[in-house]
Amino acid sequence: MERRTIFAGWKLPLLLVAPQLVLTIVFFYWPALVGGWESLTRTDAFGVHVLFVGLANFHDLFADPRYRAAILRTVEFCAAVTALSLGLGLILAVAADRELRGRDLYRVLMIWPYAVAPAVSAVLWILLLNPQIGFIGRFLASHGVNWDYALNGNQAMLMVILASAWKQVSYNFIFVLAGLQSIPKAVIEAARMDGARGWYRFRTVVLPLLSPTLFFLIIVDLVYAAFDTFGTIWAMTQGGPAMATETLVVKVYNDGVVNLDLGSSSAQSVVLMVGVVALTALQFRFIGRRSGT
Amino acid sequence: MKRRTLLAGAAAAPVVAAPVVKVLAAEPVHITWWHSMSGALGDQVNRITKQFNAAHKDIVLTSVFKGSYPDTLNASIAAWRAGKAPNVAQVFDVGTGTMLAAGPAVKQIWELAKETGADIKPATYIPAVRGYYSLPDGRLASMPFNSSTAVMWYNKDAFKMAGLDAEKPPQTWPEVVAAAKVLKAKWADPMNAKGGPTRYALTTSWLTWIQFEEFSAIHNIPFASEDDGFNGLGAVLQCNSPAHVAQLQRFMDMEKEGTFKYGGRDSAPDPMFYSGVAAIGFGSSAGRGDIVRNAKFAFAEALMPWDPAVSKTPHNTFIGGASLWAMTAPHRTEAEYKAVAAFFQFLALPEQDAMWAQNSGYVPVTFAGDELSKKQGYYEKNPGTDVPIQSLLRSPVTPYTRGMRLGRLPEIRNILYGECEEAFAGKKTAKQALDDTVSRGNAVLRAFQKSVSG
Amino acid sequence: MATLVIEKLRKSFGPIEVLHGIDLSLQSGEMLVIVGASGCGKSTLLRLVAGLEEPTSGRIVLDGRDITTLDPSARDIAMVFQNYALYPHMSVFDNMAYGLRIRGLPKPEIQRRVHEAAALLGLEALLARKPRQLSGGQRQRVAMGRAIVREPKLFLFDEPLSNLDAKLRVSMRAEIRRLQRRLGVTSLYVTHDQVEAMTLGDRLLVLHLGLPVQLATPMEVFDRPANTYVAGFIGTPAMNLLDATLTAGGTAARLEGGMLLPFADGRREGADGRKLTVGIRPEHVRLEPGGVPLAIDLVEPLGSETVLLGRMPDETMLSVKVHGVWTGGERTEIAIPPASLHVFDAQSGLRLDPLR
Repeated sequence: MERRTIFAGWKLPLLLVAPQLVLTIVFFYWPALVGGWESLTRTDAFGVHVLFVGLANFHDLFADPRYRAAILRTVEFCAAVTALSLGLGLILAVAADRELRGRDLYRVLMIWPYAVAPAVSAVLWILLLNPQIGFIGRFLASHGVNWDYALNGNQAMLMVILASAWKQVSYNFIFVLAGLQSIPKAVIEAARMDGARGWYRFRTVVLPLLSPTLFFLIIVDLVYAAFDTFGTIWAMTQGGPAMATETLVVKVYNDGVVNLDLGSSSAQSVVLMVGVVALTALQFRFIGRRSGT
Repeated sequence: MKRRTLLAGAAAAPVVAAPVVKVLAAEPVHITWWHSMSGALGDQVNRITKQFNAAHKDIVLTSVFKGSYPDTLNASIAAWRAGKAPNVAQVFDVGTGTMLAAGPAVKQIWELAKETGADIKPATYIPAVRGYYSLPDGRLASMPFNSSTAVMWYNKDAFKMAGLDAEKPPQTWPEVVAAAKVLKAKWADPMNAKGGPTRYALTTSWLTWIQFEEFSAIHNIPFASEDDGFNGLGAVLQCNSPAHVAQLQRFMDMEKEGTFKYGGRDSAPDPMFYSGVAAIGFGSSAGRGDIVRNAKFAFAEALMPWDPAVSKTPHNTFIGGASLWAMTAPHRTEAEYKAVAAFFQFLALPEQDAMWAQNSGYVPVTFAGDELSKKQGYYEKNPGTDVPIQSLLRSPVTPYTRGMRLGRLPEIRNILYGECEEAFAGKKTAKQALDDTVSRGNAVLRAFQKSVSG
Repeated sequence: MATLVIEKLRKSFGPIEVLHGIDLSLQSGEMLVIVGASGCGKSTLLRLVAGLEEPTSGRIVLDGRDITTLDPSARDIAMVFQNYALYPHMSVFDNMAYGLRIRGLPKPEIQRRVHEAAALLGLEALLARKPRQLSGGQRQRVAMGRAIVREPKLFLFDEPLSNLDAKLRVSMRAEIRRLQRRLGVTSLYVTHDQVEAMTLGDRLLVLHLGLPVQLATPMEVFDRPANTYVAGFIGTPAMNLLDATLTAGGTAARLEGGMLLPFADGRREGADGRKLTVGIRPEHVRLEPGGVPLAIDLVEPLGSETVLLGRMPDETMLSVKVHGVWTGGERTEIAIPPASLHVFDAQSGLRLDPLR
């Protein structure tokens, strides 16, 4: 039976939801509205001259081959970060799910990267990968690899993907581990009795039962890669070299905060917002469908 | 306003020796200063604040660190839009165009001086410094504060090992290229054979500022039309001239032959010099503190090289760094503006200017401050510290050596960085990269022009 | 059809030994029920046979092949789990076909076997459904079907009925029995339910604290429990176990209250005065006017029968099962027929049979 609490009158309920309502309006709706308005204007940084230009900013944006390239780049980046972090999280969680010595310590160590601030993790990776001072960077250079992420866009992309994925592995690890542990042991044992071994058992029984968790994580990872990696990318490459690591959020920051091109930056934010809404809707739909039947 | 003037008593003697007129008012005037000076520089800002407050009992100056230069600029913009702008905001050199276009948001120095009657003479300031922050007719728009310029740092030990004269650094670009070859053959290569980090003859920080903007000034050629933008918003980039293309080609060639290593944007390559990885490092004169702290070798700074094929003699460099802007806000009182003017005058005192320069590594911005440092024997005791000021005073300032007055200059710099990076990566020729920079940069300039003219 | 032999099987988890040496031998087609209270090690024994756990020592031989250390997949054993353990993401058909596909059976053969099993279990209409769309009893049948289609050498049942309601349990019990007989597959069945054990097993193995206590047919276990534990465990209500001493030259037992119970089947070994435990099942106690008075404390009507809980004059508790409804009031008189007595040594709890 559903439990319902009935309040007399409307004052108390309103009072109870008011703090959340105020926060949501002040920190979500209001900025979104302002952003939406600014995306329709051309203005200087101080807002002294404001000119309504309709959809001109959006038109300019999509007419710009560099913006289209940034979209494609972001898609590639998100896909790579998601695949890498989810794949690693899955492998590590499967390892941690076994009976093994020092399992608790292993789990704690696995969760650490999540607690590291993006800028700090970026510095750690730079200390490893810098061609001059980095341990790995020097190793690569001394083995004939022309490792130079300050100039080589692909290498820079690889580096920000690695650093971004590394930070997200923990999150995936925790959720996949929880997902694995929620699979009834007996089902796995039944599969063993049925003769299923190793990878085949994992593919036909464990993976399908994990799929709701994995789907959830794919969405979360995509959103993470699209938005939360800003700190990491900014600290490592600022979107360079050239624009090789300039994902959409980095571009929003570059155009809005560095270049003070508020109209275009706002238009880009609106585009990003549409992207998040679409992803979230997809997730709700999927989860709704699964639990509905 | 009623005021009584008193002579400064012995007990309240300020640290400065200049006669200070003290004003007593019933309520002290509160003013705020937002800045981006962290670490040791932040300590200096606190010292200045304390000394100013001690010298002006009727004014309470509060200095607030607001993060990086872009952070402070953005915070100031947001605050102004909310009607809560600080009285003084420190804005970096490349934000000057934005601030000049800010109209009612700022009170330019000449305006401030006129309204408050404060005696602020542009001639007090070194031309290469004030030029950056002046209107074309010489009126001062913002207050010069922390100013540095481009210099060439070099590793004396590496020079000696390579058999070069450590006391006679290369003066022209052909000499630099030649020295780099020697450094590679006789220093970097032998050192690399022994292991450790890979050494290079040469690197540069601030590629766009130093090797293109300052390069233009040194050779007295325009970086952009309209006198580098000083004369109007209609400026277009001109940094794809043969001289500029040759400059980029020079770096591409050096990169190919392994004498030059690109180490990233802005100050990112700084550590390459002070950690001994690069024997020559072009950088800001303000990097001295880091180099003194980190370098485990003998080093020196020298004037920027020039290309005799472009200009027979070298011209002055202009400054980088930041200046102080007086900002407006609703209900801001005359007393507040007066307090701001007093603060700016305080900063221009020779003692303050010299002390700030000596403790921060920036150049003195006034002639008097420079003279005082000289008199105090600071340059003798710290050889090379006068190189930046020499560089600024190398020639009379011309329309092409004042600095840059371009809107959205950070964006243009990033475009130039990106194009150079593609050129170094072998994806574009020097000409292509600079042509693309000009066309992309001009689009930015036009967008800026439109945005500020409503 | 295969024989199963278990030899000296031991299992420890860390320092704790839970199975202390089990020897067991099943004939082809036999159904052996392992019964015992929870924690007696019966599930562990089953999992060792399944290969889900590794024994500490001992041997398991199926159909002449030593399978002690084989992976479960290589043992040719099917198991029905307590909570069914169906694959939630697969249809009923796929649940049953899973093991066959792994074995690489041709498609028509898989079809044939699954449909046969479905027909046998009345699941034909449900083959396309997912487990969450089935009732408990249907799921149980799918779990059975999954085992049946495999046509394994050995069935293992791990308390398969304990998640069902009482009524369903009775009908499923009968169905399992019917199927097992019909298919003739050697089976091990673990349960804590003595009724299941009695009705299903060709033989019972009573486990107590990791030790085998009695291995015999259900009726023998009931009629001749090997010790007081079995005596108390099998039968409802539990057998009355009374303290007594050997007397009259070993031909009778005297209860603490003084009541003399002669043995009908002969003399027991030992000197008079030996401490005994005598057992009498509640249904064997007779109501006899003029017998020992019994003060009735509690009447439990079960419908066709009634259980009386009373006290003898010496305050010894005694339960009595009578037919029909009890109308006799709060006192009655009873007799204990000598032929129904079970005699155990008080110290070891072991059954004492008459000397021959």
